[in-house]
Amino acid sequence: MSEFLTTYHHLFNVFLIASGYALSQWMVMRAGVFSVATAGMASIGAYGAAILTTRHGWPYPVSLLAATLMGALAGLLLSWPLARLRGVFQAIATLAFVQVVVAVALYWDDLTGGAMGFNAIPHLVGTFEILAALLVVVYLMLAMGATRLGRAFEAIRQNEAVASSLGVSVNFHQSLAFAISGAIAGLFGALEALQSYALFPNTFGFPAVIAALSYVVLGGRRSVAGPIVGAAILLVLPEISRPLADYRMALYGAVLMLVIAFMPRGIVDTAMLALRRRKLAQRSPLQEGA
Amino acid sequence: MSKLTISGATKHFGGVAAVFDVSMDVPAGKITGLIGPNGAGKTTLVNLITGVLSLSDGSIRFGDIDLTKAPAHMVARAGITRTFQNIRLLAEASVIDNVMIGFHRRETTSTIASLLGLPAARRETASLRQRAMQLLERFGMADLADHEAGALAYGHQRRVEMMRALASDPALILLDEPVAGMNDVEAGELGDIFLGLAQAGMGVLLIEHNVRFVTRLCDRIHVLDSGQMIASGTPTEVVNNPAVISAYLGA
Repeated sequence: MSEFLTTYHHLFNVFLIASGYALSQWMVMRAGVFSVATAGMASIGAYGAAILTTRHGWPYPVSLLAATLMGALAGLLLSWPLARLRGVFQAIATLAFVQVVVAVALYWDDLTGGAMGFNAIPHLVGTFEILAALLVVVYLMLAMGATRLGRAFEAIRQNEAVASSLGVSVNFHQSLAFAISGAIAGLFGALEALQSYALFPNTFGFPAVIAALSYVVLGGRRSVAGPIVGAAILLVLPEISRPLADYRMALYGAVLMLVIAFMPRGIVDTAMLALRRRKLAQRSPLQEGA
Repeated sequence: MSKLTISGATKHFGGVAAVFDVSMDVPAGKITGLIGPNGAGKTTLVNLITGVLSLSDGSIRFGDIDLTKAPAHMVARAGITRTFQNIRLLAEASVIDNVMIGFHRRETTSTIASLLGLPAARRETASLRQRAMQLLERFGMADLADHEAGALAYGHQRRVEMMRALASDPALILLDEPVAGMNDVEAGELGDIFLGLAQAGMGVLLIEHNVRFVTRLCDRIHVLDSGQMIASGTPTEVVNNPAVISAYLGA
């Protein structure tokens, strides 16, 4: 295991950060919001932390906190105009937001270094810090899921009319989901910045949007483990399929399509549902079909 | 106890008045009926009361609270809960989770406590689960607690919706065709539950097609036709009203 970790150390860091983005994406989808803003909010956190540490000499924990707050604020501001939109319209509007952030990072050279990238970021965080951050986020998501907020998000995701007829404020909870999603994206954007020496605007562009969405679609939208498993599979897949060379992306696409077609709830949620059904069937074999 | 007062409620969809100048009261402790042929505007009226649609004109008050412009979740927080004409459950969630969301209005856990998973938040969740279980037992559905709500039989789904509405502990409940598709025995059982709620002091507004069912349960009945109130009164008065007979019963 330790040999594996040394060999694939970099891949492991990439996986941890991708899990953070996946959880940010999962957070909004859980609350019934079809936002793809994670990449944009991560970009804000990444550049924010890079600028604060490199140019202003802020200690890295403070930069991380600031980036988290920036992400949360971006999410909150974004939720305001988006409250009237639903479904695919939210997706398009948030995609536009991501493109705006990419454009700002590209053309505001003085602040971001533009297309040449933001260079010479001190390497301040490693696997330990990123893993610790991921564990904190996973704990918060689990805690939330088991209490009031989780129930409210779940109700909104499944049926908005029912949720509001029982006093659940859709606007409040979706804004909160945006803010939490933004905070997670900002934090992991900052972690990515502080472990990778240089930042480029297109790191947080359309491919990042698709990656974050794919993790959640593949892994599952309901359980916390879903997006993390999704990220693990989609990151390891290209590695183990190296012999396929140019056909690697075809395999990636095929796996995604098969899962969407046959497990529309995602791998983890489908497995958990199957387990639950089996348990129920064992407990009361006659109950089914009642 | 609070009384729901609807005055001059009007809703235009483009040039069509789906509901026009409707006034009625729904007192606490009684079952009030609302009947009318298909397309009469019954469900539109329910949507206006519950804040799903906004009024074009008129006002809605519940006790001292003005609900004329209140959005749906504020109407629910004022103590008005509804059931839907076509059952609407959280289909992927278990039966008990469907009932637990009904408690939302009364939950006291703060957002921060919930996010951090503080003991207070977990305690409240545990106690709500227990109360949900008691409701399930009362409705004879404790065995089905962990089953997916969307996979249940129709009659069971209706009961889940009813339990969820009761979990929100409303002062007034709006029942939009609650016995549609049920046989007389099942409808009779539910009718007894409704009578029990009214006796306990809850206001009940029953929207129905089934005239026999409504006349058995209601103290007062209002009749809508083409968006207008054409009659109001006791069941006997309404059933013998010539305007009602020609509009609705005469066929």
